[in-house]
Amino acid sequence: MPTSPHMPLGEFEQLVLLAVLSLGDEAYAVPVRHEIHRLARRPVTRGAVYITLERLEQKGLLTSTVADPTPQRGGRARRYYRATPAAVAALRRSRAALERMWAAVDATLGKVSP
Amino acid sequence: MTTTRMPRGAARLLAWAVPPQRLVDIIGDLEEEANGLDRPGAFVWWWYWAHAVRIAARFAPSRHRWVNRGGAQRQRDGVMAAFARDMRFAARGMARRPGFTLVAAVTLALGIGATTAIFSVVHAVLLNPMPYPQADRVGVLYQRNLSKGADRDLVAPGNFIDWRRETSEIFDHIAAIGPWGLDYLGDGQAEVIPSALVTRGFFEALGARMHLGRSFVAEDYGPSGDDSRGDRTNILVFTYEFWQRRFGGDSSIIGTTVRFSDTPFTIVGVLEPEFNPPVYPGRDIYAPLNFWVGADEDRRSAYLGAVARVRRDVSLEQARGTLQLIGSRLAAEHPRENTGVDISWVPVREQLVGRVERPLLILLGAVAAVLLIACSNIANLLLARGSERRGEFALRVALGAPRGRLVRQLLTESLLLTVVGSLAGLLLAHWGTKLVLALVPAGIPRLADAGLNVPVVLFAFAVTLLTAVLIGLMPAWSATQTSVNATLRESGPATSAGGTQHRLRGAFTISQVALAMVLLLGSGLLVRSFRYLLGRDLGFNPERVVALQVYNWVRYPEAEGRIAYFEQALAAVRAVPGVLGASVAQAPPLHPDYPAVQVAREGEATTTESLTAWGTVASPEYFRVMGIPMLAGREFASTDGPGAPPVAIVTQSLARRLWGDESPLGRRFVATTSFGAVTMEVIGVAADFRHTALAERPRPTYFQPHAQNPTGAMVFVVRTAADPAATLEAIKNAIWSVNANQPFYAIATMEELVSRALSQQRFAMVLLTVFAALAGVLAAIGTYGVMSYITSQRRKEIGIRVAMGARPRRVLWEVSRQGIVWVSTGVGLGLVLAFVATRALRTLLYGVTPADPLTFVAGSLLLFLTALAATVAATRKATRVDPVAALRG
Repeated sequence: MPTSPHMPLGEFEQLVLLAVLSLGDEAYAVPVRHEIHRLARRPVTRGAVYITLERLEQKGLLTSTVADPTPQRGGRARRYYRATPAAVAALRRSRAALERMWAAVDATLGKVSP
Repeated sequence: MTTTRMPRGAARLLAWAVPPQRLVDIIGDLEEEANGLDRPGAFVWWWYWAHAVRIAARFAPSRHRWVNRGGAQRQRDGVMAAFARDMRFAARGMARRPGFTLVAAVTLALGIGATTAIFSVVHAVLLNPMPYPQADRVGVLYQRNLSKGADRDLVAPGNFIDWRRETSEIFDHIAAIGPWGLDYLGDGQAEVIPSALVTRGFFEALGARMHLGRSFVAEDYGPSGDDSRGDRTNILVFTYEFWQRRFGGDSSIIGTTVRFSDTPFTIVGVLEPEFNPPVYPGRDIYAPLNFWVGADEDRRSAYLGAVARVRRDVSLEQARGTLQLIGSRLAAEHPRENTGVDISWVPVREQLVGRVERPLLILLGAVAAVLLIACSNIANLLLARGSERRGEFALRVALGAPRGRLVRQLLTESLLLTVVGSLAGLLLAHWGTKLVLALVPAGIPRLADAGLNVPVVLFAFAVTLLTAVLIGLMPAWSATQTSVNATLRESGPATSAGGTQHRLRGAFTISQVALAMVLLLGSGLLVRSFRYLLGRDLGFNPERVVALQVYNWVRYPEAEGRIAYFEQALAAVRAVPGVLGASVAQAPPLHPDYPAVQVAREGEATTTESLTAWGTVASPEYFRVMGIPMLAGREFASTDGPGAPPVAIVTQSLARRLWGDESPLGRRFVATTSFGAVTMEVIGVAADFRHTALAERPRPTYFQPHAQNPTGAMVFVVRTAADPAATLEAIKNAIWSVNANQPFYAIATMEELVSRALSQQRFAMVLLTVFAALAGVLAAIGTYGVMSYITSQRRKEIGIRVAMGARPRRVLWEVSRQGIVWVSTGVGLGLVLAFVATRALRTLLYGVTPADPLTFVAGSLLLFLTALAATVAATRKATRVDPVAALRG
């Protein structure tokens, strides 16, 4: 399914991208989930993380590479993710939109409260 | 550290659900985490399964995307290929029978085209949102005096000011608009620009936005925003269209000064495109409305349009309740003017499209009936074809084709037929919409949007699909009900149609005739009603009279100037060759501007119970020019001047209301207007005539000579010897010879005005008649088709009878009997349906009841004879059957 890179990001997509960015070279599914759990303070299912990673990669917002197999994993390789420049741009757009919306809300709340 | 492995079943589940390239790392991740759990093996086993199931559940819905083209895809290809095969087969079948295809496609094109054309207008007018934001909260306010039959009277300034003061709790904005005209010397020729004066909040009430500049603010209405001090601010707002047309869309116009009516005005804003208010529509320029001092006491001259937006936190019922309270309070406070007057808030939707809603819905129903008749026609044809193809179907079933496959094949054929028909239908709809638009009465908003836009085409598409199913399903079902054995054993086509098919044909014929009957009677009633209106005595003679409206308040501020102007201009016009007579009147017949005035015999006080008459102004020769007979007394003369005693001419009905059967000549009566009371002596009695709509009864009216009530808003009426168009330029030049800068606000012949007054009736009548004719023709063709099919099926039997010596007339009767029964049943059913359906027409009928016996009898006879003729035409060939050929064949 072709997806426009300018489509706005969903909230969970943003969390996953931010986790990938913050993990740097250590970004594979297991720590991504832990990072979201730790910083966003919400339970996250594995399925949600996997399908979001898959979708983000199809959108061209993530690239992935398969590392060497490790013994803890029964000899299976890890798939590491890296955010693309498009992802960073999309995140910035989402953030700017939220900040503008908040500024407007703050102005109103400021008027309402004494 | 021991490493656990994922249970095989869980891994398989994942392998089924997740993309293959992800499988290895997902399992790896799970095993990595499981190994960190440090829990007993049974727990870990459960853990693996639980997570495998949950992950698989997440991926399963989008599984098809990464599964290689498997069985499902191949099956889809199969469906598409089968559909394409069906289509090719259907197309070959159509090409083999061009006559059948042409008849069917044209019938469908007519049905779908007419339906789409009407729908495009319905969509534009009724389904499109109103051109105001939150339009359901916007309404027009009227004075209503039901005891006097006044449902929607415009508002007097005093009442408006009261309402505005009292309604702040229910309205966000309440504002008034009054008509105005500004003269503009654009390209050297003087022209009146229709304009309006509006109070504060007018644009806000309608939710209009500015394209450029600003709208009016409080300061524009006098120093403290108080608009009741007679202040004047020379600022204007243009509509977008006027700004584009006259100023080329030049945005630097904001803040500049433009001269109108010899006065400089500052342009402060341009409205958004397509702004048009629901009252006094079509104005190009807006200016602030400031009331004159004392306007708050004027509750008689009802000329303001008022609009109001109901507050969001107030329900419409609440608002109406509050208005009722305010109305009765004001009636109590001002019993002289306001007894019986209440306030009605009419939603803009009703205001703008209420008039055409019912005719449009009736037409949509009518056109749907035409489409249904067309459908049943084609279904009949397909049924007949299906009977001929029974051998083919039986063979295919015998060779192993599932019956569902046959149904699909037949539906594909009807779909192809319908698509061809509907493409032609769209073309017809394109022209049809233009025809409908030419007939729609003026003043309906958003008509320009009517046309083949996306929703309309989607509608046509949906109608096409529905039609395809309607025409295809019955024949398809019927065709598959054949017994393979019985059909294959027969050598040729079936000798007689099955019982079900026969009943189906009967049902089709009966319903066609019944539907056509309803349309025919409906259109008959409208035609009768239209003839009634046309044949009504107008009370004046509209032939070869042209009316030219002028306003010269500004140019001649003094009464003497206006009197002199009209006298000189009339003298000039009368001198034009070909002019038989000329006069001026404030409001000639079919003119919208009739002020209602309370009148009483001299010596009797006017009360709320007083007679209301229309008071207007005319100059000498007016009644002769308009062809209104003078029944007694004389016309105005030049001696009825400003200094002479006040005189009046009354219409017969006013004379009768004031003085009964006594002669009114020489008697005096008092008319009370917002400018005070005037006592006049009656010098003449004119016959009654129709003022506004032709459907209304004549209203009591009195006329004052222009010299004694010298208003500036007058209409020249000129009767010419030949076509007025030929003399019009000379007439205009004659009027201009007095003042070259005097523009004409409107020019129309009286015949045009009469025709315009009938436009609403004409609209419904013409279209319903077209549809009824279409329905009648289709029903006749349908009956012919059915009967000739039945006759051809009975050829063998007829041949035997003729060979045995049956008389031709007897044979004809035998064959036609069934058709006559069907047609009679259809006519009877149609009569019953029409009896109910024509009630919907009640509000559109004049001088004829919805169950008019003459229409019903004539209509049923016409349709019965038509259908009978079709039946006999189809069965007549039965009597000419050559027995030898029939038996052999």
